[in-house]
Amino acid sequence: MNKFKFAGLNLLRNQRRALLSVSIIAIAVLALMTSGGYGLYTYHSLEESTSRDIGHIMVTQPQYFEQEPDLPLGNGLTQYEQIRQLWLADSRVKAVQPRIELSGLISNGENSSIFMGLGVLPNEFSLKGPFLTLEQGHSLPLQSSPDVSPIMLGKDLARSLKLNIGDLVTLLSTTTEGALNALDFQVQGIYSTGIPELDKRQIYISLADAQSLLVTDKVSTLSVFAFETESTSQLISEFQPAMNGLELTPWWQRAFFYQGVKSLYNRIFGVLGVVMAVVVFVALFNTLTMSVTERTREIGTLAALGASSGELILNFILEALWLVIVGVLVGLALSGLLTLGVLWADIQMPPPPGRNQGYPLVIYFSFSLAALVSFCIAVVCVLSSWLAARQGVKKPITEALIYV
Amino acid sequence: MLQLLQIQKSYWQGEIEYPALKGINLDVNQGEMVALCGPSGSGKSTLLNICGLLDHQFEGEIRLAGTKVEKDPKQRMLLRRQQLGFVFQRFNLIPVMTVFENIAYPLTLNGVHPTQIKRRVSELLEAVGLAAFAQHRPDRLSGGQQQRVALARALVHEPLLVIADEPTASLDSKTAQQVVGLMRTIGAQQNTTFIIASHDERMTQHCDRIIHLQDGVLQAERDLCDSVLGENMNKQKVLSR
Repeated sequence: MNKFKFAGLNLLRNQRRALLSVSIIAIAVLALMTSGGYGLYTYHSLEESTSRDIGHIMVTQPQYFEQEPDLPLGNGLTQYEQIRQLWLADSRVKAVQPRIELSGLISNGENSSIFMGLGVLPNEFSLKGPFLTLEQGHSLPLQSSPDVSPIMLGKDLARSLKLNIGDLVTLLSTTTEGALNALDFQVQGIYSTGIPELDKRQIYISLADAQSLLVTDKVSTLSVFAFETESTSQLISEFQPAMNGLELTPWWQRAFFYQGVKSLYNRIFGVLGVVMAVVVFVALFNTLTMSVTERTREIGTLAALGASSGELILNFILEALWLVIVGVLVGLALSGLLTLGVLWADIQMPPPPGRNQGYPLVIYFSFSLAALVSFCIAVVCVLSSWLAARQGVKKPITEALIYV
Repeated sequence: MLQLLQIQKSYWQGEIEYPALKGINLDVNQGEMVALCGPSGSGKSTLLNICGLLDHQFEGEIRLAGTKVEKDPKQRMLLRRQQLGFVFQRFNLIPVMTVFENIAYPLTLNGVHPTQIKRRVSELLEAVGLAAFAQHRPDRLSGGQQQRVALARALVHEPLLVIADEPTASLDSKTAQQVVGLMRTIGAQQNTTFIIASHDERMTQHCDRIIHLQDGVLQAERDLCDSVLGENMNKQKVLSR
């Protein structure tokens, strides 16, 4: 008789027990696939949001992120257009965006507040897609009028200064030479980032206006946007020699929130995985131990007929593999259905800590995760069946044959 | 064919020793059918287990077909697989296997080609009169039919020696006679040696000789056997060494 068929028939001798074991495995797979799928979605979302925010690669002066300059743009990039064109010549690069980070005071004529600003090319908004929630007005225009400089404000900053679309504000900042300079802007848009701390302070102005305010032709950084996130490392290694000592920083080194969440989730899911593995191990060990005990006389008979310990243990391992195959398939089917169900239900998650916007619940169905979960469950099941069967096989044949 | 030399075995309960076999010497010839009888606790099952290479914790020596049987579990396992067959009182068929698969099991273990397995099992099924039941599961057979399947399983790989433990104890008279008859017939065809533990005179009266065991010692035969098996034993040859 085919060994796999023999194992399957043995399992069917106690269908309720087999069903219980299959259910436990299926639930474990469902739990791991669901939590893992949610984790993967979170990682992917944060990865996308980070790389969309700062680019896949940031080109800066050495030590840009470690040392604070005495004056604005003291460690900025000059001749950045040449570098930009060099990157843009590569077909894997979607865009290269120069940026200026600046800070100062914003005033409506009556009240003032501190701002943290970004000077960007106006195409940044169309390039990056919907990374802000525009609550009023528009994003920076591609062609600005020479009469008025447009500005976008975080919603809480606009509220604190009682600003609306079309209102005029003045930005006051220190130039790269250390002098004070001020420019007038007209409110073009009011947005929310979803992070209250940013909404209270952040502004966007055009790169040209930022350079005018700081009286410079430098930029702080160049953000390189690749078509594929996976090509980041390759691009860095290829472009580094041509950068003349400039620093290339991949997105993940600046993705502090992403790293923190990933580290936390990995630990949570790791613990969950271990708990699930223990549950499956104990349940299956219990099931197979009962099965081995009930079939002690049969084991003795087969051993008397000349079956080796290995062959006897293999029978039980194959039974465990049957349980794994059925349990994993059921678990994967359930997790696939859950993935679709969650998409269909369009469930909104509450805002995470430090944010004021929720997000849609999505659970990824990953084939590599499914393979990993299946493999781990199989290993646990094989181990538990081996241990359970070993106990039965170790019993002397003479005792096994008279076991009642 | 089978030689037992100075076989001794004791069981221990705490520090108290209970001798089960006290220096058994026995020669069994090829093709012989030997009955092993004795009261409960006489050491019958212990001796049967040792003859069947199921127990290796004893003192003394076993020779099978002239070769000393070592205590190595692997060698014993291979000898059981290739040269021994077993018939149990409760048949011990594997319930999830069909009759055919149960009988074929020893051949499968020995790596026999499926075509040969089919031919050989079919022969045995014909011989024990169960050809029509080849695809039935054991639980659909009567006790006598199950024991015939067990007998076919014990003989299918043409072993040198078959160990049978009370093979007719669970059977009615007519069925027991059938099973004994089959053992004699097929055993004679294959020149198989049988060692049969039995209290059943329907069984022992067909044996070539009867060995009586009492308190772990082989006894001189007649009187002792009579006391156990009754007057019908008088015609039996009982040998002991």
